[in-house]
Amino acid sequence: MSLTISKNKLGGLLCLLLGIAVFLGSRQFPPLDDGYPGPGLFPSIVGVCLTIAGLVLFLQHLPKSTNEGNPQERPRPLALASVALILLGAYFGIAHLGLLPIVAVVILGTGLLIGGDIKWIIAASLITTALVYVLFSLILGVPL
Amino acid sequence: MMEFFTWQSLLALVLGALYGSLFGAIPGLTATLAVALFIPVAFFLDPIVALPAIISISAVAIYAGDVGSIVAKIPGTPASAAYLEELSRVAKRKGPFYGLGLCAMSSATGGIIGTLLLIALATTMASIAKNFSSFEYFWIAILGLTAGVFATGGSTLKAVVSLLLGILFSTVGIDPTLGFPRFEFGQPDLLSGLNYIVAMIGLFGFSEVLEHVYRRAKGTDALSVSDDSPGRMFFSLPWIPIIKRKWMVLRSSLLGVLVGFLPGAGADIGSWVSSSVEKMTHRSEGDAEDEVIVIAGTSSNNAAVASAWVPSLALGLPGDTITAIVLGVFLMKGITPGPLLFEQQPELIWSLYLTFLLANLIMLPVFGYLTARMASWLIRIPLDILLSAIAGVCVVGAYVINNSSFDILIMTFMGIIAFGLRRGGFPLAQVVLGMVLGPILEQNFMVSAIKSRWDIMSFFDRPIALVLMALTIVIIMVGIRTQRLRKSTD
Repeated sequence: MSLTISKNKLGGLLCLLLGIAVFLGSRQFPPLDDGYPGPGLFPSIVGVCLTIAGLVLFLQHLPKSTNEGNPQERPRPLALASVALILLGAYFGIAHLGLLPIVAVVILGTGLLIGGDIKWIIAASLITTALVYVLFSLILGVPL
Repeated sequence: MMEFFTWQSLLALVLGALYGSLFGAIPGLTATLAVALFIPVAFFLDPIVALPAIISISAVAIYAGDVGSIVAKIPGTPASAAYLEELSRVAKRKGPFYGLGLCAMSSATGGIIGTLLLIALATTMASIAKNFSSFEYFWIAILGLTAGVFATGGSTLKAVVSLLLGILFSTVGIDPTLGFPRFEFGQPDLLSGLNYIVAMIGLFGFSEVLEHVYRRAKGTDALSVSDDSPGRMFFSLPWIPIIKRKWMVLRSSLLGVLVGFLPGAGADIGSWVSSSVEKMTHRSEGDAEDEVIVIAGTSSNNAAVASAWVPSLALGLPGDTITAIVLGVFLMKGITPGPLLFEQQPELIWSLYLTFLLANLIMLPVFGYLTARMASWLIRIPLDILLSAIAGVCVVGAYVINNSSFDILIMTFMGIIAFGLRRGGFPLAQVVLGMVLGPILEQNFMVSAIKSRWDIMSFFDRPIALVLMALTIVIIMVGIRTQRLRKSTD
């Protein structure tokens, strides 16, 4: 129970900080020539609303609603970070290797991190990449 | 009307449906993209052949977007996001044939109701739409956002936070009213804003992969495949809840038609408003409620697809992105949209009506069944293999929209944000709603404020605006009452 409440408080705090940052950031945009609010008005309203919502969320004690503790669950933050890193690598690698090898690597890496059978993961990687090639490159003419 | 019954136009209808069903079922590929890619072909075709193909593509591709919701929890359109969780639960309980059958049959019913209303009221509705100014559009956006907040079964406060995040994401890039770049952090790729299809792939698809990598809980999300015959599950059984709730289907279709015929509003807002109304008015959770929400969202969605053609045909104003492309086809072919089109080219107008009816009566069920077959095959793949393939498809889907590797970064960022939101119990669909309605809200607010010289009272002067404001207040009151009743029954 205490873990869920702290999650809500953390969410509220992050929302509060984001709201303040958005509000301050939107103050940098110039007003209109005749002194009326300009492009910063709408984001600053969003910032204020986020700040208020974050504050209420931080102060409010919400009941436990989601993410009930699953006994089968084994949290793996490192695996999670690895998937994000693979995708970051995809962003940098695509200019050098093209889309198809990157897709194959992403499927392979994610499959291994999920814990799938290596033979099936390799097969999934090859089949999906081939389908992407046929559909996008051969049929739709998208440069990959 | 007989001009329509040529083998060329009927073939265009069938091929368009096949193309739309394949395209719509792939995450990242949308009905709009399918229609856009068809334009070079349409250029060489007679309008009486090209238009049936476009209608068939859009009607079937929008339905096929629900395949992604069932297989990978990636909605094909922002409209599908309105009932994603409910559809996913229905498919999990009763199998993909029933889930997709429910979508196809409700879509077909909504589409037919929408078309009949289009035939009866096209010119009248177009003249009403002409009276909508930026003030009314502002209130429409407020109405949609309010309905979205109360549509969630969980915490309203968390729904507000999700919605605000979505609106915040929509402010990235060039300001839609004044043309000033905002929150682009010196990155030229951000000037055009965050594409909501890329965002949806990250929010729903990639975050699902992250969730499973984090939990490593295998096989827990497998869908059941019923022993009942697939044909019966797809074609017959879904009619039971649809007929049982015929007035609700009619109400949702009417709502879809009303929202869809407003230029720029389209099917997405129609689907959200209808499913939100049903979520607010149903207190108990469970099988029946999930089905009701799916029926409301899909019937409204396809009814709006038909009515979105009204402002395009009668006023030359696009009802949504697809009709914006169609207007381009009209201009390419030397057809001038407007009230005179109904008098000067009645055969074209009647062939459009007939195509809508055929697409909804025959094409959607037949090709819908084909996509359901495809979905049933896909869900037999072990979850770990399917999820790793989904990670690859997310990369492809994000990349091919603009041929930009930067979109892969955006998709990853959205996936990580969505993972955090899921963990904290924040709803994801409201983020998409915020991204879709944010620019409409901002643009119409700023335009209204500037043209009234910042007289805020002008937002309450016009009768239609007042009606929309009153509807918003009713939604807030009903929403609060429903929340209280839910709490008391819990």
